[in-house]
Amino acid sequence: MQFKLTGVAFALMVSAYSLAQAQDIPRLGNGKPDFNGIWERPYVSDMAQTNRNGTQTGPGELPFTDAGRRNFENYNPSTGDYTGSCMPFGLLRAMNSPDPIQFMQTETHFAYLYEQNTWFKVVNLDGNDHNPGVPTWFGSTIATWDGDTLILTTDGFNGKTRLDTLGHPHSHELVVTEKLTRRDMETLDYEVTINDPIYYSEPWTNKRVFTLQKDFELIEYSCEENNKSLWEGRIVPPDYDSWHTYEVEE
Amino acid sequence: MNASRISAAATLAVTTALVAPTAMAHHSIAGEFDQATSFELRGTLTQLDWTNPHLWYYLDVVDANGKTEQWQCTTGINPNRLLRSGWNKEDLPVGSKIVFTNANPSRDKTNTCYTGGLTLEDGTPIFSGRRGT
Repeated sequence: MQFKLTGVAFALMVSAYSLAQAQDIPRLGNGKPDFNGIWERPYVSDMAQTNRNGTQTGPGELPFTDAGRRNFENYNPSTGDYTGSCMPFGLLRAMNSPDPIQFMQTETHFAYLYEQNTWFKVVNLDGNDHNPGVPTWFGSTIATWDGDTLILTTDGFNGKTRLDTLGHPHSHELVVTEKLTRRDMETLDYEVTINDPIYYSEPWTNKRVFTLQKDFELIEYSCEENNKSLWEGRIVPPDYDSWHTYEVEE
Repeated sequence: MNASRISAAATLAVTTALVAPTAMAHHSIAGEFDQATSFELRGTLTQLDWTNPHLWYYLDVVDANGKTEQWQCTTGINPNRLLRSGWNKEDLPVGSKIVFTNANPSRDKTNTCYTGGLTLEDGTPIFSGRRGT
């Protein structure tokens, strides 16, 4: 009897502990995890790599297709640098930026507010496809939930961006899957999977840790304000006629 | 810009960098600057652009023959990040004697550089880490 009681008590303790763990994150009124806040994140200049402090974990070698490897090896930012030219960075380069990001979330919408160039991206959380019917720099996103993980699946990219500063390419067929999981009150696990059958033979994933910042607000950032290297000719806009190493349908 | 030109203008040694300086810029530094070459540049600040996307420094640099040349140099740092670290434009007034350690020359061979480290003439770091710590 004593054994049974002890067993029951232990089970109750475990349940209570698990419940406390599950609830130990902020939530919205509908019970979904609350991702609101300004987040400091690692600067990811190379999505293949793992950094020293563990805030970014990449796959190491990337599974290039022949077209992908050829594109990457031919990339030369001195002959065409779209971010240096202050063109829209696209979803990945904006997420990889060294500057903070703010997430604003209601029960119906989720917004990325990038300090980088004061850009934003808004996602409807109704689970439907709101693709505007034209390719865009930041793509079109469908939001779903897997328990407490928010899954943002994005396609519809215009193919004019790159994945990271090092220049890893992506095609028009890129599908990006971002998974956001609030680990605790201060920390968010961010996982991004690249699925691009033209440039990579299989999907690959990069994982990061974001830290909540309560000491500051976002500040306006104008890329165009004093981008003198562009107008003095040291930065060259990209030539999109030679951007890809596969036949692009117009 | 070749090595002899850097030497004449900057009066200091040119070295081949084994490790490129850490950059926090939003775009590729390699496209604009030769990160395989680094040098030290000393001069007097004549103007500081406290602007995005990056700061620009303007210097008068005196070479070994006493001739003054104008240089312009930029950095991966932006004002937003400096403000959060406690720094302000007033921390580096015009007229300051400054040193760019491990500067990289621009590929267009003008008197333009990527700063690398920045110190005052006495070696005090500026716009590095959190101010006052």
